[in-house]
Amino acid sequence: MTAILPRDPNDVMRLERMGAFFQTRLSFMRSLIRRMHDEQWRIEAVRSELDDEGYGVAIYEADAGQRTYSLVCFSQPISPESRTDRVIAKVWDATFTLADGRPTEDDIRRLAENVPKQEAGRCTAKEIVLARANKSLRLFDHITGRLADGRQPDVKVIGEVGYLMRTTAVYGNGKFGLADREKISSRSELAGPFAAEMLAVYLIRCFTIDLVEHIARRRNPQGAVPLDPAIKRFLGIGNATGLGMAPFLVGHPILINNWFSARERALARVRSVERVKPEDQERFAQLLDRAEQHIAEWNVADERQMGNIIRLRRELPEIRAQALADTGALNRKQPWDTLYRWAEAELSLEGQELLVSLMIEPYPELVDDLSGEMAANETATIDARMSVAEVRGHIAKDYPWSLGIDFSDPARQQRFWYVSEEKLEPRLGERDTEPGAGKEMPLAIGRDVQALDAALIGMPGSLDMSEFLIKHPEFRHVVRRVQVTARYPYAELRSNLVDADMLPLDMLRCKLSFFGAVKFDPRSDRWTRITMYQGAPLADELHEPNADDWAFPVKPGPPS
Amino acid sequence: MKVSLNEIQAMARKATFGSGLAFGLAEEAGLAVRLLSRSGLPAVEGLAGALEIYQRDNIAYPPEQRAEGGDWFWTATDGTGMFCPLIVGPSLADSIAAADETMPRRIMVRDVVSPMLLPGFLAPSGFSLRVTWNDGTALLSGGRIRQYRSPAEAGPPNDNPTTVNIEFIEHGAQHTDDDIAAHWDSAPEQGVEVDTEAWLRLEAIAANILVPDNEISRTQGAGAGLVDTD
Repeated sequence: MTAILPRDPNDVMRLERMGAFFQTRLSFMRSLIRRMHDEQWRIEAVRSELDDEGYGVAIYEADAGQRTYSLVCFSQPISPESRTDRVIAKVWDATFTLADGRPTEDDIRRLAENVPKQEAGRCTAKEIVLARANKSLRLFDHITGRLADGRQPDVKVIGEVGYLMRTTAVYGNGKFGLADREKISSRSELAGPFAAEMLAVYLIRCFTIDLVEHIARRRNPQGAVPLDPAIKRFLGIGNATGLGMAPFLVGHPILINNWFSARERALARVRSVERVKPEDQERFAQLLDRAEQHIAEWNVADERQMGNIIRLRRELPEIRAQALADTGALNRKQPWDTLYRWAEAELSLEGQELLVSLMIEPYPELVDDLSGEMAANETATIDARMSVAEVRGHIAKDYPWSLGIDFSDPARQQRFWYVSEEKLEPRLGERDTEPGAGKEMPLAIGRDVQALDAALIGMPGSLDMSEFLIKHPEFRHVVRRVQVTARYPYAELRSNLVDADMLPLDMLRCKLSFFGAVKFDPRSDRWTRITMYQGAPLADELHEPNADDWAFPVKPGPPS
Repeated sequence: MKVSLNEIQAMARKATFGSGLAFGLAEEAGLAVRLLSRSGLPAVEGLAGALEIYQRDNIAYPPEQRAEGGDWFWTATDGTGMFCPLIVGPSLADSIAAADETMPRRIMVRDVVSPMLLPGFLAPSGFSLRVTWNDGTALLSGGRIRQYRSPAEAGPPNDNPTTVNIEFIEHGAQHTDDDIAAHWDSAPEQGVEVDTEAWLRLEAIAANILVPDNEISRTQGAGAGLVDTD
């Protein structure tokens, strides 16, 4: 038996590949739903003080066994022209906080004063997550109208949007006075990256579904009907995401390593399987069917992404033929490795990464333990004893991509990342034409590593970093990164983040795929909408045996 | 006002970077101020003072190091004759970690401003150290600040340069990131009280890294429209 090694970070950590990722069963929403299923969590609406239009306060409790978490929801009327997905917004249709335990009446009064203000308010360490969302007006109005008329909504219209509300920020980890991550990181029910944020979003989904039924009932108490459960399940939560994710990926190298490492080891384990069992092959075939329909239902306005989707639609039948024919890959030795190698040679990056997701899916017993290894302690002190020669050796091994870039070519550093004075929004500027390059965020890692290497060339090979850095503190952050990457091979994005051709969207999609997002819908080269929890079990379905089986959601058929 | 440790770390990092110091130093300042604040110490005030002095006097680097009878003596070599703890702190931690068999018994650092910040940089080395200055003492071991005493804590940071003594209580202690992480895994239940005025001073320094808006950046820099009514 030959164990297949995880893929080379020089290939995996390129932006083009990262920007082709899909959710996998290790994605954080998937892990959370499994945990809620395994640990028999109970979710309940414990307060609903909403008026006829759905404005007011509601509270949802998640009973996680040892502890309870409460999503406190505030819903309010806003004017259409103030509805923006950007962080520059000042009002939102709904605002939320995930509270630790059950908030008291005093807490709720305090939260009502602060949560609707979002960044302009203050939370306390009793709260874990702060979030807000805006309605998708066309779907919201369509569904409430139909339900109030006693009819189910048009599934086609639902398929075009996929969610009732779109979150525009989900904050955690101590922001705006919230509890530090350390307060909850040792709790088993919230173990894993972004678990609290993912829980908050799941509960927001519960709220949005109840909200449309509530409004319809108030509008027509006698004639309104509840939403068909299959349609409810197909309603996820939207999200609009911008450039903030890029600095996050660069700023958390060890965490990012652990995400990628788990995903790559999962793939390596599956590729190392010697023979496919018939039931696993059957499962793969089912998933392939579902994925084909899912991709067929994924339509976006962005031309580049739509082109990729159209190519994917052509490639999925090729995967089927290659995998499942009588003489296909799955009937050979090391079947998944055979299939993956074919895909690597023949398919687009999106085709390859979709296959990765599909291959991992039938093997919970082989890979699910890895979801427990995706969190990180991010403390990384500099190894001051490391010599100049060793640092240069690590640069040569891990940063060949940066050493080959000609930074004297203006196009290679045409962009610069900065934080805007207005609401501290991360933005991307053009170095030659926009002011502010002097206040660049340190995201030009390739350029900085190349400069470090050049500075080290003239130094004695045995000189250690304590002596080098005492004279060159300007290289401290780069030396730290090189040392971290030497220990954590997937820590670094191996692309030039200030290049004229760099596509920020790739970073956004990568991070969102780890969350478990689907239906990437780019609105520009640096802004995307997505759908979360589409197809996920509803709160009263979490205990059903198939609760984990919601990858690649598809539109429900007509109600029976 | 009450803030989280994450807010303290982020503010310390941004303000240090905003003061003009290198980003790598800013990262370490964030960790040091977080660690000190976690231990209940007025590090936000200390940082605000240190950064203002750094900006005012443009303290430069590097130090001159002299070894004598098992002791090290660090002296500032630039015209100010002073050390900024945000620059010398990381260097001291590096030198201690790299010393090995040449480990000194004691390090004397002359003319440090806001010396109360130094233990935050030295604790993560994992060594057992006694750090003393004027009327202040800190005992460090296992990545933590075990004891800290400084009658001047309540007052404004002392910007008179002070000599700091660092004594090795025992040799051979190991620096592990896990030790530090274990300490940090217990965040305070209710946030940390910080001095609002000092916090605003840090915010003002941190604002140096922000780029003022113009029409291009506002409409195109984030890559999204200004209204989403769908």
